Amino acid sequence: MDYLLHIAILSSIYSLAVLGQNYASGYTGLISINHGAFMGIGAYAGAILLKWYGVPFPVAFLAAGAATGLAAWLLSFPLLKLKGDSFVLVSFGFSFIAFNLFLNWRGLTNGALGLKAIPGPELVNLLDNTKIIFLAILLALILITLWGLHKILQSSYGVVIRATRENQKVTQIAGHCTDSYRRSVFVLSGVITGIAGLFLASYISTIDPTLFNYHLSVLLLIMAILGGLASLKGSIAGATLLIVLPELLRFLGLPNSILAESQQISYGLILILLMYYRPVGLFGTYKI
Amino acid sequence: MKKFLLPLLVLSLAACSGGEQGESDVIKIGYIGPMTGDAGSYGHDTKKGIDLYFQEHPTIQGKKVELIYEDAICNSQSAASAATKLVNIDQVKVIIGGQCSSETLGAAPVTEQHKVILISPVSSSPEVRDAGDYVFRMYPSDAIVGQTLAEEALKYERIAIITESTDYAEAYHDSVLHYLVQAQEVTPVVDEIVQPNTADFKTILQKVQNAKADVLLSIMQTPVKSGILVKQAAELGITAQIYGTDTLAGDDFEQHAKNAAKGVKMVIVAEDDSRAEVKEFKKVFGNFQAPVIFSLKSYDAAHVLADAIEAVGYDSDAIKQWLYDMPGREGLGGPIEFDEYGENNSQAGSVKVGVEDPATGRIVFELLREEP
Repeated sequence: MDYLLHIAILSSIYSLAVLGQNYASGYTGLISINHGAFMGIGAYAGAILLKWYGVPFPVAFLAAGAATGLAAWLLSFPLLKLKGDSFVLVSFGFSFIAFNLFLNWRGLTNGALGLKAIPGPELVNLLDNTKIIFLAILLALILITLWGLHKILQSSYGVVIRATRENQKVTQIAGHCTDSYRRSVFVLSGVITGIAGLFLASYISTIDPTLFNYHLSVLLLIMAILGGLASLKGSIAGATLLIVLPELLRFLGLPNSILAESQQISYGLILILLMYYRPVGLFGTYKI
Repeated sequence: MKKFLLPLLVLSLAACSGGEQGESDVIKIGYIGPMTGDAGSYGHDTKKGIDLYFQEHPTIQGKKVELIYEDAICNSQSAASAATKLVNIDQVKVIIGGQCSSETLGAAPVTEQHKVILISPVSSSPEVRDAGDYVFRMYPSDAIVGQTLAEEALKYERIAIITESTDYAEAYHDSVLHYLVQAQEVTPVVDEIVQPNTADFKTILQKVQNAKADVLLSIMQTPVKSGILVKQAAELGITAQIYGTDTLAGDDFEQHAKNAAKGVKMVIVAEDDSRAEVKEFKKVFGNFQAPVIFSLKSYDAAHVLADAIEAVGYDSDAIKQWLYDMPGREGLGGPIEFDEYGENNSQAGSVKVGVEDPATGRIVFELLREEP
């Protein structure tokens, strides 16, 4: 039961992060490979406050969102001037910059040693099984995010941001300042992913820069594409599938001599097959 | 949607299949380590060391030993997942691992909560000391080994340090610097941190030369990196005595440093090559991918655990107490005795730290730190 709860919590954390990624990449067409860095900024901002300043969890929650929002806002100025491949490459570059900041700003992040013994939300101590409360908080947050994003996407604002994805020029001619729309989407998507980062930090209670290198940014985008771009339930499905899949492979009963290598190969093979047969992802409607 | 639910259903069934072990005929021992990825060689050798022990001793209390290996790719999140699976599904009471310190620190909160023994063969970060009551380790802490390197450096006047920005190297650097500055009030003339994957050290080495350092401490993650640094130092004509750490032990160092390897000294945790049983182990083991001491320490971890279970049964609380009470003994990788933190530092005798002269390729235990 504890193991299932553990998988459910990790899946929920990544679902939340992928909701942020998909809001930018799926609905607005901002194919960014930097959300792993946003997750890291949220994780470090929250963890530093929780561990070194002993702030209550809700304060760390707000700070993680604010720090990531600020980073996304600043990044949006150079990034949103670019299109297509240049956008993707520069966003990827930001992943490296953020990783190097986590690694080298030793006074703040403790460098390569990372931060250990990060406290969780105070609420989790209400029950003996702290994992159930942790999961409940996360699920509530995911529901609120789903509801909020659904409302946004249904509104006239939501129609405009999807229009910018299809054709930015036409949307501008229609009288919309597409840059402001895209910037606001990018910031909110960063905030959501940053908060997921805080939950990851307080759940596993130990973080270091290698957790938030470019691999994570690529993983979040793969989760969004696999679940389906421009699909909220696809975000949750993609994240859950890629968290559950490696765990499932632990049960294959392979011989010890080839166990680890076979797991990695199977993981890659399953991803290739899934993308081959479902290029728009599990629930996707939009293809890059 | 059905496609998506299927993996969850299979996982639920798998998760539910792990019942209480009860009076089973099998003793399950978990393993967490980096079996793939950059640190795969550490996982390969530590796993092989454990395999070797249980091939020689396949039963405990007449029961067959079942080893369950989990790959944690040197990552705290994967280690937490692996530990949760081992504890809840496989119902193990003892885990040998992790190998990387990040693995041990990631798995420790899980094993502590479920009162499961976590014994790490080679994690050396000083932070493992406070990871929990059920956490033990075989390898001496970097805090101890780093102090030995600092004492060596203090034989010289002008000390330079170059450190790679990785968790192992930075922890080691911190313990060296702590001893130099806090205890001896000596400040290095150069103290630089370099990025992982740096291959050009010449700018920093120029600083070392300009500062007229007479000793250079190279604290790197891998032997390859140290080899490149030493070679470039020789090319610049740096005459300072160079010291390396545990990660210098390996053929890769000599291959990359070439002639410059001559005269480089290293402070390492090392096996005693002259012992017959160590020679025998090396013969049986075959090819090593990581320093020999890693597989010796994992063999010793398996040995100590097997003895504990043999003595008090498959009960984690009893095993924990047995390990704390265990009188000092000699393992293949050196003395073993756990202190109140589960650390194997205050060993009977001394910490086995040697200085190797790569010119002869032999580790000479000319430097033995007495018990603190």
